[in-house]
Amino acid sequence: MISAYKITGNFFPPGQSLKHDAEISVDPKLFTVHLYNEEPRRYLIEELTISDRIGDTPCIISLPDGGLVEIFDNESLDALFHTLPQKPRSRFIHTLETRWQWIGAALAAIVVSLVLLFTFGLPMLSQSIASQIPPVVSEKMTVKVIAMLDSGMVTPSGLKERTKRKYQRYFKRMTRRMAQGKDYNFRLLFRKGNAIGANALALPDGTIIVTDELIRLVSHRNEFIGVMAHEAGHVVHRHGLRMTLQSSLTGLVLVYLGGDILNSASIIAALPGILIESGYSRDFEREADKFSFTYMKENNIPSEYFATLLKKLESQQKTSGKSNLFSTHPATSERLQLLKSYEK
Amino acid sequence: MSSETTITEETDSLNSPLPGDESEKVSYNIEFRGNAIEYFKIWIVNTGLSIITLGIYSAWAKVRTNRYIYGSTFLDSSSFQYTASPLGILKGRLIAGAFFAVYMLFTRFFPEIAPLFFLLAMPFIPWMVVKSLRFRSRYSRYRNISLDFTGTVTEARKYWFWMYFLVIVTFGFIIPYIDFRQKEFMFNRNNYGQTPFNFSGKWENFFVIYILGGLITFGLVIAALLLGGGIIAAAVAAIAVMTPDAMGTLLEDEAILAALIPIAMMFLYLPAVMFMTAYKRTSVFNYLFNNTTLGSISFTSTQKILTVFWIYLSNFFAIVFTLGILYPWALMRLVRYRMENISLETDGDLDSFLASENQNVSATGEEIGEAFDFDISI
Repeated sequence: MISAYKITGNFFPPGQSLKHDAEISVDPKLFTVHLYNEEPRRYLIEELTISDRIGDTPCIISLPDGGLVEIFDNESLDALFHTLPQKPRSRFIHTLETRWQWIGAALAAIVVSLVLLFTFGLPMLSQSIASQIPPVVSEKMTVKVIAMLDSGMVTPSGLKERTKRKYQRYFKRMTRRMAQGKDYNFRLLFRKGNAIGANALALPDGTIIVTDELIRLVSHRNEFIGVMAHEAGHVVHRHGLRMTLQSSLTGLVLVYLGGDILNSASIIAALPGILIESGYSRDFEREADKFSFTYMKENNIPSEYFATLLKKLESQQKTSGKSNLFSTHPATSERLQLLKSYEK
Repeated sequence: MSSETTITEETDSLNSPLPGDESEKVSYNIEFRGNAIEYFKIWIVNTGLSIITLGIYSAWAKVRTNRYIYGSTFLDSSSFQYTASPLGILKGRLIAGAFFAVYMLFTRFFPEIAPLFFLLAMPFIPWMVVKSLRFRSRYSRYRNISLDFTGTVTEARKYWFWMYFLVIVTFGFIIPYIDFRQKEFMFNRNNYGQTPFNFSGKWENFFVIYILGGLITFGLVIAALLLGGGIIAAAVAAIAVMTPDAMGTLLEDEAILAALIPIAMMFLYLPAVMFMTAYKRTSVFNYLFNNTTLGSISFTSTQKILTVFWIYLSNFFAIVFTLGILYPWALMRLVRYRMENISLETDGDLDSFLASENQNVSATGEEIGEAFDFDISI
């Protein structure tokens, strides 16, 4: 049973670039190359290597003797192969690539997986990595951050020794139980904030830095405790490490996805990274607020104190105009609202 | 097939030599038949399957993309072919990915050790370059003949390792010369089957390209600074004068300001960076091809710097503003321009090339190079 029709193409003999016009035909077992003025060449179909279909690019058939056939008419070739029982040419991926419903499904899969990856995947992954990282790493990171801050951003504290001792006492009393059996040690450092104004920073190994400007805003012990509990929340939930990991991973994913598209413009590639990261850090702030509130509730400290300090911070930032450009806290009004909702 | 194709083929056949007339030169233009919609579908399915398979399919995706581009590139009505196997590439990707992850974590946690990491990697660069060039050549085929890269790691070590020490000694002035030697190595150690490519350019011309480029960059930076400073000052002044209240809110709205700075930078520096890239790539590409022969074949490349710059710039905005959807269109457009500006001229024909013995080459070198954005393209 020899198939009625033949398909034209190019034939190249083994190891040569010499082009022959050729016609090919198939029957269930044999693949025949017909050449002008030459004996037809016959091959077993199972011995051929036939290229998958990709778009409408030519089909390349490698012959077992090293010869090559190049065929341009994909439709006729596929129709011809379709008559064979063994279907020698793979078309599976090509089918996906030509039906609009599969293309739509692929597009939906891409969008959904990216959203899931950034909202759940990366945060969960970095949390589990962060809990595995030995304390040495957190200590090293802390030393480095303090050195960086001290090299110009902040200057030694101008508070009276008596004031410092008082707040150290409050701090010790508050954190004594929190660090039991954990790999971090809470300690409190005072610095003059200058450009960063009234502020408190939590570092991965449990070091908390508080600025003179913030201390001056405090008018009651419990206000201080509220802020410190918030910072302790950052330490307990390992936000420093998680942030570092999450932004590394975000960078990795963005480079992987957009590497070849945007490699000439790293600035634009950094932009989605910045947005995603500030989203992450707002989540961390909420988590720390919640930690602080839980602590205050357990110790019978009214949460109004913390709220009062937040309000003072907000109005102070407004008048001094020293609003931090890259601040990544949620809006104060939103935080106060959340505090109230925890209370219920 | 479009009507355009038929016209080109007719012109080609008019140029064909008459039998017996061997002194007549024949010229062939490269024709690119890739199509944005066809490639869009391939690209979306590639990306979707890569994500669903957690990246494993990306090796297959790469092969399909390359096969589509090669297979859409025609010379004398035969297409080019990309013959690499996805499994080799997958292996390379896994190794490259592991390297890259370690490197990223190092730079985050121990930034002071990261340069050391790079120093440790330095001696391996020549090996990666050779592996990668060999891989790319061996799996590129046209008319049943594969390219074949015969450069050795020992030779590559001269251009990708030892010469770098001269960079320090000469305060960088040697860079055009090193660049020239690297390109020369890439071209002259490549064979089409048994026939070697012969690049006969002069290193002095690379200095001309670099010096001109330096002057243009200097001019662009000055212009960008003047223009950029003026625009920002004017915008801030306008806001302050018209709505003093809005100024306050603007300062307060941290997210907006934080985002504004990189955007302002982008609009200023992006076109300058793109122009420089277009200038350098186009000049070097044209120079390399215009001075290369393969047996009796000589090449001509006629890309224009301004056209390439326009393609880069418009592609970039098309991709960014459609969140990547126009990427396939942009890629096809760039490849078409590059390819269709190459032509070949010969007094013989394309029929008499012979194949060399083929070998399998691991894909590791190429993939590691790609992950570190190591430029081994021309």
